Amino acid sequence: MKRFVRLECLAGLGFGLLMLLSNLANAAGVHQHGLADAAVVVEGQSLTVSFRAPLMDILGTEQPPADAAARVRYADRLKQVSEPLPSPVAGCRLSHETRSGVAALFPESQQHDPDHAHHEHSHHADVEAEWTFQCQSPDKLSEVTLPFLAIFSGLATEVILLLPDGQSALRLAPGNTRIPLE
Amino acid sequence: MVLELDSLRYQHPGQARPFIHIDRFVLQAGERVLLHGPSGCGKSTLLSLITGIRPAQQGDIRVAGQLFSSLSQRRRDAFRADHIGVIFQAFNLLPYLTAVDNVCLSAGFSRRRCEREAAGNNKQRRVAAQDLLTRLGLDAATSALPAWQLSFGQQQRVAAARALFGKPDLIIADEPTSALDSHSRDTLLALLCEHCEHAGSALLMVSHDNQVADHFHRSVAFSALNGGEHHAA
Amino acid sequence: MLPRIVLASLHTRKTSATLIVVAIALSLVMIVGIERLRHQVRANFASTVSGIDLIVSARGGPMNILLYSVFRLSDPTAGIRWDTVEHLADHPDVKWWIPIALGDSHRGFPVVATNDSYLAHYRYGRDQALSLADGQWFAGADQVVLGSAVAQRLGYQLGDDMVLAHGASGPAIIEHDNHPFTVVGVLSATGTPVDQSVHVSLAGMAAIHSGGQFRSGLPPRPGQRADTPDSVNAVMLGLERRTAVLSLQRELSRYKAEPLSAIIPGVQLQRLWRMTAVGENALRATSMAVLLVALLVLVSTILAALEGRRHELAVLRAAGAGRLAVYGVIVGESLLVTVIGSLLGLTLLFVAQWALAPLALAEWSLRLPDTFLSVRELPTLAAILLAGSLAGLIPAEKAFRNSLADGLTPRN
Repeated sequence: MKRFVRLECLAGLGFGLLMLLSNLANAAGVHQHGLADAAVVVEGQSLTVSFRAPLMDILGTEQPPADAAARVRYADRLKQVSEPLPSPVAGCRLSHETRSGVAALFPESQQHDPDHAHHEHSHHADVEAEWTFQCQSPDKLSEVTLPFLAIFSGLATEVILLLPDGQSALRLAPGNTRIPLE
Repeated sequence: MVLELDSLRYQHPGQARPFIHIDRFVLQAGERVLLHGPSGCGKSTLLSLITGIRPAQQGDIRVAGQLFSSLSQRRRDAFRADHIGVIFQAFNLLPYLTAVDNVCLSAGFSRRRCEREAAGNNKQRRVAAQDLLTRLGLDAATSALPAWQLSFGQQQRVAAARALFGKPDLIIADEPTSALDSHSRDTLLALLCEHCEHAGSALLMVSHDNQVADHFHRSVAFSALNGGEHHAA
Repeated sequence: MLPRIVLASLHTRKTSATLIVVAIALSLVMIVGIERLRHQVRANFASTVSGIDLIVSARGGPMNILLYSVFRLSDPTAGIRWDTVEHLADHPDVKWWIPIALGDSHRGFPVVATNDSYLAHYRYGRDQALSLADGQWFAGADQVVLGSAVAQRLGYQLGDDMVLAHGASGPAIIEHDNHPFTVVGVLSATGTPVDQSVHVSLAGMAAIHSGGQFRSGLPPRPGQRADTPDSVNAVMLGLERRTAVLSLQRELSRYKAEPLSAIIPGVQLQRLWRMTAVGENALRATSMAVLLVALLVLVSTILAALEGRRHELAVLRAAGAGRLAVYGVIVGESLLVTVIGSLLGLTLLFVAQWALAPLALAEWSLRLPDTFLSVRELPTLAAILLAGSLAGLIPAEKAFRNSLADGLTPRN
């Protein structure tokens, strides 16, 4: 009987802690590995898609590149976070793109300073990217596909939708690339 | 020949000895034959084979030239709707339908029978059915009642009308008069035979009572026909 | 021929058929009713926040911020200082702002302290603005504007006096009878928590908290506007551009002067539904179980009746009915029972919706649906009818087999 009660208390505590943590995580913007954030914002003729994922999930490591070859490998990997595909019928054209490069993610790696062997690395930097499109018929937008999510198949994505119809959110299961815009 | 039986064998499931064992039996078109024998000797089983409700295990059954054994259950059912009329000893009607509806029942399953009554649509069908019922002694008022409200004698007449409707090639009757008194029995049989003659339908009737043989062209003892072992009830 | 047989046959078994019809009707009420209610609640909640871009509050759980500041549920949030509010008001990305202070109640209805912005900028549903059914918005610190449900439930009219208590819900601990508030306006019904709220000015709430001293007449403290409180619970924001939502949210989470959280209400609501999904699914499963029970009863009733229908089937078979026709008779019955049950269920639901609509609006600010059947529900209905038909298949096959075994004449 006592053991049961203790187990229940533990379970309850654990659950409560989990809820608390997930709430806090959301509030402070702390990332969790295996979970990426995306946002799709439609305003007037423009469509903005933003994406953010933990470094670990995209590059498979949080260590800065050891040499030039590694930097190239990292850069190639980062390039795989490719342009999203909005519904073709909406007639969207990419007008602006920003992406985290290797240099931005690992600022220290640019300085080949042996004395700074143990300085602080920003271990929890995120890979970020943002694409802005200009669309001829934004009302015909029915979905946005993030094809690179098929490559990073272990990543679930929390998506925020800010559309003329209203605000919404959904969660893409790992491997799922399609964001429906109701 | 409207009915032809050849080397017919049938045994109940789970029994080794054949229940039905008939070498040859023939019924001509328009012929009326009485098959008499005691209860339980297999008459009804034979009828269920002839009507195609039960599949025969061995031998040939030909109705109106069609070999039953070559047909699937579904085709036999359709064939029966087109060519065979059935009258039971009792419980002939759907109690919740009117007499007219009950007569139209077989026509409902067979376009051929509608055509033979020159009844293209539903309305014509009902008119033809009422006609037949009137000729069998049921007026329009009675025919509009639900069947459970009719007397037993009236029900049997409705059953006869249903079997006759559409002028089928063969009418099978399983002891239709056994539950009637002798007067009603004679009346019913007279009507039935008259209409069979009129429609050109052959009649095969089964009964434990040989006294009604006068209405028929010939009378056959079931025991003579059925060579196999049979079990009395 | 077949429909007539099915109808007439069913009529002879009226009693058991009626019972099953009622059982199916009830299960349909559950299945469709729960879906509609779920849909309606979500629509209602969404309508409440549809016009708000961001809600800013003291740092805390986003769900709590949403539930407390908008729906007056869950635990109170800490306050944010007025100078933070001013920072938000002056922010270039912010088009309009509404301050919200909570914590008091009047006979169970929450008191919401705010300013003119509330009336001017709050939007709900399809970009609908608030409107006054009667009177005007509060101008002075001792004036109150009631939501429609408050006025209706408590029977207040323009000019009536109200006493506002310090603290939330239940009987008042401290009442300030010597400084009553006056009702100067009543809002039209919105189907949102606005209807349940008692609206006062920020100065009015400050007065409640400072022991009933109204500030009107006293000079404002240096650097402070006349009607500014020390803190508010939340600020609702409308932004100039939708694209600023995320950047402002991030900026505010890093605001140095005070720890803040900015939530996107529509997003947070979706996450709320994700949490309630488990409960909803349990409800759905329950209602489907009820349907299953009803169908099982249907099957067993038909099966039980088969014994007594052997002669009926023998007649049909003799008349030339094949397997398909026998199926038609039996399945036709189960389908007909299901159809009648479904129609009855939809009618019951429709009547219930109509009858409970005024109560739901007054009590819970919930607008009940007013449809008999919507296109969205057609697949569910089709599935129920299909299930009803399939329920008849088992007895139908048994009936056919029986008739084969019986041969020409069933022997009891």
